[in-house]
Amino acid sequence: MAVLADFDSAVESVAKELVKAHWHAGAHYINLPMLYPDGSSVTVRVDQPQNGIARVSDNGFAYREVEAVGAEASFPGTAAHVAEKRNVESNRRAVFAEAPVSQLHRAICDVAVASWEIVDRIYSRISERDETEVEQKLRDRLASVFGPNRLQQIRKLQGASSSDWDVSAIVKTNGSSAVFQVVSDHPNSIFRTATAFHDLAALEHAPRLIAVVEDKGRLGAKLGLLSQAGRVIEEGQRDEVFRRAVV
Amino acid sequence: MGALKALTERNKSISYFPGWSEPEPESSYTWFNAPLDVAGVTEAGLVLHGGCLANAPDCNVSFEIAVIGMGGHRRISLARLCWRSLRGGHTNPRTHGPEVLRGLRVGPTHYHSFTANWIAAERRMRGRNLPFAEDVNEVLETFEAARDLAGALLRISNIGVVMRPEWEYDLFHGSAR
Repeated sequence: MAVLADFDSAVESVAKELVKAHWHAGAHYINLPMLYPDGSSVTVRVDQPQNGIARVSDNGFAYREVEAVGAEASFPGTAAHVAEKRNVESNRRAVFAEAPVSQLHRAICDVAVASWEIVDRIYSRISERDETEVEQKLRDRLASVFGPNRLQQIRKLQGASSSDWDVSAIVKTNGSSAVFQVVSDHPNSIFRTATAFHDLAALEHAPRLIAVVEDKGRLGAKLGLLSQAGRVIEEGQRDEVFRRAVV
Repeated sequence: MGALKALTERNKSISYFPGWSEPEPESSYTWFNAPLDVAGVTEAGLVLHGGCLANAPDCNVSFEIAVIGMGGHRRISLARLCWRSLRGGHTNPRTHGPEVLRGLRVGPTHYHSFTANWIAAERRMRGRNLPFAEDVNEVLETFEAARDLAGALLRISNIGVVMRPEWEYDLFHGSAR
């Protein structure tokens, strides 16, 4: 019973921590149970109502997240797009909403989701840029492991659905081919690759499908999505692992 | 990228403290980027970044060393001390990284160490923007105490040149802290 009581107490303690409100220097700050990439909580600032209208803002916290990776130039455009979709407003540094106190709950939720989504979209685009760099390194590596003549120049394949899929590299093997696809840990990259692999695996003469990731551990349960349709290796593994992957 | 480790671990000093910026009108954020010297040489792109909110006194301060414009990356954060963050605590990722830190929740004052965010075998930073942090056990009651701890953790010998920000104290509302 003591163990159960401890567990109940732990759950209660975590639940209290999930949403926290604190008042500081004339404004309320509310930490919500959503995380920015640096692990901090999505937070909104709620100012005292003026004529019954309260201002809810992310106070530039999303902007700070993208600034930390040098992507702040992407903020205004992305924020405007997300703000329109979420029925909030944006400026150069923040997303916000002005609402009567009776609508405060929804305004806080909308601003928080918009703030999180702006950062998620920008980080997703950074992942794509990183993938391009990693793809070039991968192609150099494959040319070294298998020989440059086996590395095909074409990097597009048609799946069983007749959809075209761009892939990172195609290597000719004995009588067949192997597709290598660089995958970042962003969900968009994982889902796209899983979809492409399933479509390519359904071909009559399906190629070997190999996802190349930085760190399998970082994918968590999503590793299973990739491994359902193809093999998964890490980019830092030995040449021998690359050779075994195509067999 | 291995240079990042050396830059972080070596003793540094602030070449020039430019002062805190004017607060941004949209967020009240005020900041500085101070170039850093290593052994008398001002290192390209290596800065101490400080930030806080002008309208939120005595909290939400961060001190971070970062490299701007290295190896095609626009900005790489190397280590950061957060003092009384208004974003509350910090939660570490669960599925990778140092085992003792995985999934941990730490308080509003915490330290994103270089070591916890560095993959030694691959000589690169783990993820982006320092996803792992640890609690700070020291009691930091003042800006100066937080600043001095930042100096010790980030190995910046003359951190005392960083002046207190010009916070806007609201005598009517006061502070919750």
